[in-house]
Amino acid sequence: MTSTQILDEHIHDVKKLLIEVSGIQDLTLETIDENSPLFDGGLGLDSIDVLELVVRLDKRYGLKIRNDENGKKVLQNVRCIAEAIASQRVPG
Amino acid sequence: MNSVKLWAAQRCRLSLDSTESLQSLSAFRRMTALQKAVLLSFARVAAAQPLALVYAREMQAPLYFTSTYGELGPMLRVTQSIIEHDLPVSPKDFQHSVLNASVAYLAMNHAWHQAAFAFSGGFMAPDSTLHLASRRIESGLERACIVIHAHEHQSKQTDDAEAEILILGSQQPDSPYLTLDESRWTVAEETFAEADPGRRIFREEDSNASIPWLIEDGKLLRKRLLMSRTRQALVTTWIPS
Amino acid sequence: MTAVTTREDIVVSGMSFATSLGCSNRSLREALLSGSRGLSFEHRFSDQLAVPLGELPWAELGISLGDPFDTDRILQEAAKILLSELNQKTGILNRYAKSKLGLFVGTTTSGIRGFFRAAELQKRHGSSLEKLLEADMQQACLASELADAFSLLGPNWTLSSSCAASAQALGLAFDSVRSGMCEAAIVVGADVLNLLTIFGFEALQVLDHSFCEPFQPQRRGINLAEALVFLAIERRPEVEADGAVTRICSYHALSEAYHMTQPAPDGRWMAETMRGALLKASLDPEEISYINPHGTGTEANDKAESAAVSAIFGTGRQLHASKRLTGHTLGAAGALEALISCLMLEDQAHSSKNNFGLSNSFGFGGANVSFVFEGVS
Repeated sequence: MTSTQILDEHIHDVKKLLIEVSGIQDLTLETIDENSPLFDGGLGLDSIDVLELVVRLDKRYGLKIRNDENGKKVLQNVRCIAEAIASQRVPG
Repeated sequence: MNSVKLWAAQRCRLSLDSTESLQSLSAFRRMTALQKAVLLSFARVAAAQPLALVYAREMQAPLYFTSTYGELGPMLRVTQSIIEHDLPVSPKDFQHSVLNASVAYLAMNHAWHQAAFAFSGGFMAPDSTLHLASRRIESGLERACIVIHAHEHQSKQTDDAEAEILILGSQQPDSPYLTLDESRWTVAEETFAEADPGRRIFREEDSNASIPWLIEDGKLLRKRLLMSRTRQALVTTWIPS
Repeated sequence: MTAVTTREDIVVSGMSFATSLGCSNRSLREALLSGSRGLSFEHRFSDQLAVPLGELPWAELGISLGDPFDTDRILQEAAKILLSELNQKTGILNRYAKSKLGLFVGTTTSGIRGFFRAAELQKRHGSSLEKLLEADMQQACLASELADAFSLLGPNWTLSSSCAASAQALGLAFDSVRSGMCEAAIVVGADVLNLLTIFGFEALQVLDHSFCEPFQPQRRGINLAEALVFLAIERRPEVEADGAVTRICSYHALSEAYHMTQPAPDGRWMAETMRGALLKASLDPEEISYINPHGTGTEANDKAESAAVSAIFGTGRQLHASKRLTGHTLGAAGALEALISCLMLEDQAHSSKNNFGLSNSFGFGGANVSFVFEGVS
């Protein structure tokens, strides 16, 4: 797989996780834009939805996202999360 | 002493009643069964006895929430996840495991800024909370109180919880009402039995003891006695006016 | 309609407690004055999570610890020791008609042992949950245990509104004594450390993995701790005090109705809570000489509470954020900080004219409570 394909796959997975943890009925793989912000009028997620997502990402990918500046960068949108997953997996 | 009047009483069950009125609430998607049942009971009062709610808001009624076992679903999921070392635990479940989660959602969804108290009372939960509300109205500490009692049923796979809500106040609205006459913490069972053959006794030690709901078949039991394992007792009597 | 008209003083007439800073007035006062922390990386959960926690001196209490799930036994054993101690100091159990002495308990995780047992049974046998429900799976089991052991025949209530639990318990106890509903009351704030709260707060990412620093720029969150606090609440004429005592002037409780775990960021409801307490005490903000904030060390709380304090008291007010030393004792925090406020105000009772203090407790779900106390000689 090319790195673009890997990234697309992660984007797909993160979207699925988001739909699962948020329970928002209007959210589907098609309606989630991987570039729109998770908070503040973007996807309309609550801080607890995001924490729940963080826990799932930890369990599935071992991706640790802490509540700091770095964490905030990763949690900007679906693409950033997918990139964080990809970047921690590539070296292995 | 002020007399204590019942302004409204409703009981509903999540698996039997439509939740259509709640679907639009922003946080509905993430609520537990218990939380949904509590909101449903409130919506039921708003639909059936709206004036009672208007008065309660006017009188700055606090919210008194109680439940025997509280948020069973989230509590059991979090404890399960800990004994299985499946960590981190779910932040959502942990946040929802606190006893005041339902009443906090209720306050949020209805902008109810009066104090919200969450009481754990075990088997005695409904009557002991009602008792406190009643005594506070009697002594002039409150002009009205909203008492909510809820329980999550565990028998089914689907979300199933039940809640009842009673609005009490010191003044009398233009609707039929009852008066909460008497409630005590110590009473001899024999005295109670002799005094009134029309009463009902709920004993925690009965092997098939279930949750002692205040409202049965849409009505309040005129006189009841709750007896805990440790022999604490509470009598609740309603007088039709 | 009848309103509560009593003008009699309601006082904290006695106290007994166990905290990570010791179990005597002297050890707690000394630790507070010298700024010693009751927090440590070495504790009974250190192989589970490497964070500072504040443990009780269990050995000093003569209580042996079991496995990490064995929380209710140690909680109840400690509670019985402390209630006996309170009675030795005040005689409160014998001075009132049994049915007129109220018990108000604030706790979040009393009863947690039963939940772990149910989870274990379900895992092993797959039993249906309905069959696993037991009478000890509820916060109120501490109150029934105490009522049973000490033959308390008066009313008892257990508050479990998260971190405001024992503050609410104290508020209701104060009301019940001043209104005559009860002749006197015992307030309990009690929570012991357990895996539910440790892993729960870790999942919420609000634990500081080093020592907590409320209101400091380097704050990263809270340190969890355990405490049991017993307060005797009586009318002044009933109390023969030979030293200073603390009068409860007022309290105000409200719901933020804003968010499940976070306060309104501008602190408007926190300010409203403090304003309500001041109003009920007929005091101006300038008359408050001591402030014990909720001050947990989380960004959300401290920012909002700073804004709220500034809005009412102006900027630059000194806050005594005692959780920095005691840790956050959750359901016990309201009673513990009331107790700390009492100690601080009683110290100044002879030298200060305006000796009023304010204490805040803000729990999950926007359960806000503020108290105003006065140290009197």
